[in-house]
Amino acid sequence: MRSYEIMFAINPQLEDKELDSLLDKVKKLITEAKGEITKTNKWGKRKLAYEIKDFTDAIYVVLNFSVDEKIIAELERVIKLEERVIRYLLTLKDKEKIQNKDS
Amino acid sequence: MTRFNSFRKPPRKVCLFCKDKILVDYKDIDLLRKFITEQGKMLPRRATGNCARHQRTLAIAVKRAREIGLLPYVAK
Repeated sequence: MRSYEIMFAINPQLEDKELDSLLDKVKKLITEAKGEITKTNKWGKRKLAYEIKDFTDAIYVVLNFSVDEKIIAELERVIKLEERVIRYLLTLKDKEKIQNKDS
Repeated sequence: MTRFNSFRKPPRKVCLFCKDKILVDYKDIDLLRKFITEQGKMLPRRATGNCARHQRTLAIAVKRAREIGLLPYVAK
């Protein structure tokens, strides 16, 4: 088990319901693999610093979770296929803790 | 010697992240913006006064923020 953080930039035209169903889809993947979601943070609509796929705005959502590392490949595959996600960023959280101890 | 002394060294800056014990985070855009120019380029260490470790982690954070569209690669 490792802890991760994933940030999504999602299509801004999406309604609240669709957004929730999209997030549930991701969360289900994690929980089904015996993972645990520790935090969900919806930032809401934000302007993109530059245009991505002709979008100027995006809905930002941050998910913190811990899951077995074997699941990550499958998780990334599903997210890449998901057209409503403009872009995502997956980062490892474990390393930052170690870094914190050093300094 | 006196000629050399006429050069005044600016006071040495202390690394902000060491001083305040802040963790570098790609999500904290307002903080990251202090370390980049208006064009979106990273400031050098001699301008920021950061220690080597934090400058390095800062560089990674800026690059991550750029990737997800929070910061520009090139502004304007």
